[in-house]
Amino acid sequence: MTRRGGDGEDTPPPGKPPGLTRESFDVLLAQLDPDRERAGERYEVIRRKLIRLFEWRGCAAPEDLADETINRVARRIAEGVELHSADPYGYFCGVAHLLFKEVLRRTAREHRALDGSGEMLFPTALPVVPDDEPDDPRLHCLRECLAALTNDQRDLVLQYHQGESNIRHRKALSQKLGIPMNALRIRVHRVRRKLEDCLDGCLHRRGTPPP
Amino acid sequence: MNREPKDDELLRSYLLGDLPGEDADRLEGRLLADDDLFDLAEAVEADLLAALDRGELAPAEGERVRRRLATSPRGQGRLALARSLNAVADETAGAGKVLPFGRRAPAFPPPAIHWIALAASLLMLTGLGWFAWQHREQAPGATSRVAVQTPAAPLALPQVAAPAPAPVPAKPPVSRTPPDSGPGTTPKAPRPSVAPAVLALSFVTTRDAGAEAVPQLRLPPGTRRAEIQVDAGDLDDTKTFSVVIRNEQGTVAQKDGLKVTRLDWGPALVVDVSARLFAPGRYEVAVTGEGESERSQVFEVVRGTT
Repeated sequence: MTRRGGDGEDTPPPGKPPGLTRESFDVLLAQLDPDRERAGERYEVIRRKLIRLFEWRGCAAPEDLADETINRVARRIAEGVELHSADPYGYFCGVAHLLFKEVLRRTAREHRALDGSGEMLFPTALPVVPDDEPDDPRLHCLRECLAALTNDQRDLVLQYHQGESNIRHRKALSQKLGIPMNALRIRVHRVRRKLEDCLDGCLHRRGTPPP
Repeated sequence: MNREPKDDELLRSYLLGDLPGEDADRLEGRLLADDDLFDLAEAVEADLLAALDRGELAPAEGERVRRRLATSPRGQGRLALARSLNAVADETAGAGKVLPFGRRAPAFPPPAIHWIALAASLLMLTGLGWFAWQHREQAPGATSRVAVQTPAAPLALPQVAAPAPAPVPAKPPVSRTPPDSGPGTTPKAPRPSVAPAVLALSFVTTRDAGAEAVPQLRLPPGTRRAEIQVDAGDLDDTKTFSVVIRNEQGTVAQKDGLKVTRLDWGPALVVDVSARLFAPGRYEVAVTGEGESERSQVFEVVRGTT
């Protein structure tokens, strides 16, 4: 959640995108929700989603592009544009698409880094993720984090990830829980996200920051 | 939430870059507005990464997943998480039932080198089996079923009162039938990997044994699975057992509800464990039957040798 700092204009409140004045930011939050707390939460969700969308589009600096999108939306709001209360996200999405096209054009001009389908590629080598080793802190942390889950959550995520008869396994699991397969996927993913957060914290504590 | 029936397929196409521009734009609008759909997108992404780690994707698709979803540092982190979860889940999957090695059919033919390695392993195991058979013929009085063996090299045996035991011929990786395979089940091809390392143990007294007498589990590079076979000749095969593998740091693996399995050399408790879980060093395998006290045996893990 973004909070206003009490130390003047020079120190932006945490979470406020760089390049945005506090006034514009406040106006943006007010448009997202009259309650500042909830507006901050919505803002964080939108930013996180925008980052992922730019990532999925193959952009190399998704955080910067998400912040730039928010800045542009905030500026337009400051100029008098109002977000539709029924779909406040539509405007963000439109701005994000325009920004993405700009980036594509600029990248094509500057780096000629486009492939035939117009897909922008990372200028980096394909990843080489090493096999987990027994003394891998990630595995230790994962065990710690799994232990911190409730039994139901732990069983769910581990059963879902079992390699043996994977598809059949998942179907049986969704039937057992009485939920459709996609609902099962979402449920597992929410547990996995918890694990991911816990894992990040654990790796930081061990001095092995996650990528 | 406005769920559409084919959302998962749509999201998969989107994540793989197959969705035409306008469709992708429209989907992104929905993704921003719909938290559940967004979570489903991340879930489909995680499934793709897990499948990539397991080698379940066709090469071209795997390449696209790698390129689109696992290139950024965050993507690599997600792939690493999927890999770790697969490993721990596989490890846990052994609890309560014996998992056969080589149980998953790969989505594409493995590289020839894997088949060569598999063929070499089978040839070696056949040779060892033949040797064991010959040896048993020559020493019919041998009573122990205890042996220590890896695919690569026979190992030092634990000290036993009986005469020198014959090495136990290790099973070929595909020799056992999955416990949940029905009569109509199509046999699956082996997973493209090297054979599991096998260690057979017995609960024997090693009071005078030196370090060299500790059974060794050798894990050559590339070994993905380790199979611990515990001699169950004197165990009550009507019971179920809990097997714990631990080291100084704590429990490495635990399997509950194990039943005695009949192997070529006799009854045994078989624990299939991800080789990733073993760092070099001393371990102890402890077996507890229902209403019984624990019995344990020390062994040592040696890595990087062939």
